[in-house]
Amino acid sequence: MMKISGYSKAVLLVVSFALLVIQVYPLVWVFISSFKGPNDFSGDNPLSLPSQYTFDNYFNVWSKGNLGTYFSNSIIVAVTTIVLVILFSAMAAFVIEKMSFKWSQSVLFLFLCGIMIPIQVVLIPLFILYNKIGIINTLASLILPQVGFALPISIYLFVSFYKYISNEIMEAAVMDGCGVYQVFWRMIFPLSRNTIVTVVVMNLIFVWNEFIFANTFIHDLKSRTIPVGLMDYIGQYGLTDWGATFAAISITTIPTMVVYFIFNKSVISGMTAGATKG
Amino acid sequence: MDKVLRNRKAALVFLLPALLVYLLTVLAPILWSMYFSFFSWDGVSDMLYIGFDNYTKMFGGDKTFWKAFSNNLIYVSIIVAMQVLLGLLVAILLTSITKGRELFKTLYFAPAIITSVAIAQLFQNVYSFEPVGILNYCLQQIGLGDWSKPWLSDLHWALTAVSVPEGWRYIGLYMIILYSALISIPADIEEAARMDGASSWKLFRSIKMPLIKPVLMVSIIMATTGALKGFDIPYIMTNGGPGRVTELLPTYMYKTAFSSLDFGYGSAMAVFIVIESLIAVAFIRRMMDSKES
Repeated sequence: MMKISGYSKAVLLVVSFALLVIQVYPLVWVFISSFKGPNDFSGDNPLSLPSQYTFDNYFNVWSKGNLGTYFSNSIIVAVTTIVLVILFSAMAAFVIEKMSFKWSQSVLFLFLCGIMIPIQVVLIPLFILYNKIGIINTLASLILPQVGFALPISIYLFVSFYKYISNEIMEAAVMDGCGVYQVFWRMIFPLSRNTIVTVVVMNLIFVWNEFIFANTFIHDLKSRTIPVGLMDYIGQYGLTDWGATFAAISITTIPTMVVYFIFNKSVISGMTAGATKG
Repeated sequence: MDKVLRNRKAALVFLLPALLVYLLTVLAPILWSMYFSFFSWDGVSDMLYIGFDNYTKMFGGDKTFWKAFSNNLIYVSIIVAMQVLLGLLVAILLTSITKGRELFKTLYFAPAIITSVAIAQLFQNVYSFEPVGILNYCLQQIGLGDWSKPWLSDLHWALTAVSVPEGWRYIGLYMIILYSALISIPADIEEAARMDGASSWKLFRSIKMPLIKPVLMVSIIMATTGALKGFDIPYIMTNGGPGRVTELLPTYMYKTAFSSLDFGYGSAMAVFIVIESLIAVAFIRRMMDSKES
């Protein structure tokens, strides 16, 4: 730890606090503004508190918009994607790290390459392919590519965890008559609970917020997910219904916020692992 | 034991789902993109093989492509500077704070978990001129009212204005990465330097910086490749406008493919984005390594 005293310490504290305000205040401001009435938005002080707190914005976005549909679509996409990612990446990592599989290092390398690949490069081919097989405008067109892009980092996280599982306990299980499937399902998979939590929360946040695939593959209102749905409140000529927008942002951000504040260590470790491997 | 784990069929059963989805949604599309880039195609009529024409058009005659490319460089510089420099500054501040470090880290990271659509909308409001947004209001309050302007439609400022939100949202991520690097420096190294009378700045420059250099390099690479793929926020906030002042390669590629339905040319640009990222990574590694020797 750096030892800094007196005057410079005070400066440091002021600077860190100022930076914290810049980082956090806009989010708090969105939440506060979601309670403002229409008159509050035409005022000349955007930082003012609502003259009167109202739930009208929340009521409006929930009853008039399609937020309910978007919510359920987002939930279906998130749950399916994450279940598939967990199963596929845990199984693949088991083969790579624990089974005597000749090509394991090449396969791992192949997967890790995926961390570097920008999403834009797959948009055109996938759009054409999904159009051809008729899954444009369905939630499957969102789930498939998101599973694909989540696999590299998820496999990496599982592989790093499996390294710590000693072969002796697997040996013991085999002595007791377990086959390879039982070793995985009864032993390795349940043991990796912490890694599973990290992979779940990290992917939940990515999938919940995903915009490009949803904007490209979905044109039908019925299959929209939340991020694209949030654009509903921008009217023609760029006029935005700010009260409704902020209410919608607040409602749709609550799930990720809750997950983040409960599991913030797992979220951060997952995201930094994903980042530093790239 | 070995016999059980050498079960070929089981290995295949476990590996196949992941491998199939990954190949079909990530790896094969890259090859398809390369293939499409040699054709002229609107997605409906027959594909027409045109060899390298898309590439000669891209590098030779397309002014918008070069405009987008140079915008991208500015966009990347702003974002990398914000994320790595501010991230490092906050990380250093954090090492000198004793109380509330965990809370500080948690709050600082919070913008990273919000969808880019919400961030774009939030900043649209921050930059607003009429009605007055947060930024212009603050400028007025501190007596710089003359500086207030509609940032997103100002030809000189729009590119900076669309770059800042992307930089802002991930400062916390880099702060945490650099912070972990800083606290992993053994305390005795620092004490020894102190004994020799090194000042805080000297200590940072000649001891800590070299020790965290590998992590710093990874951060710069990540921030650069992240910014090179930047798409959501500029696309939502300005869609490349006004004129082409905020056009980036990904937004231009997207519009070429999905608005102008020029899939061949769009694919050529997509291929360029991948190559550009690879070159950027190689370039940064080289620069950081040569500095060392």
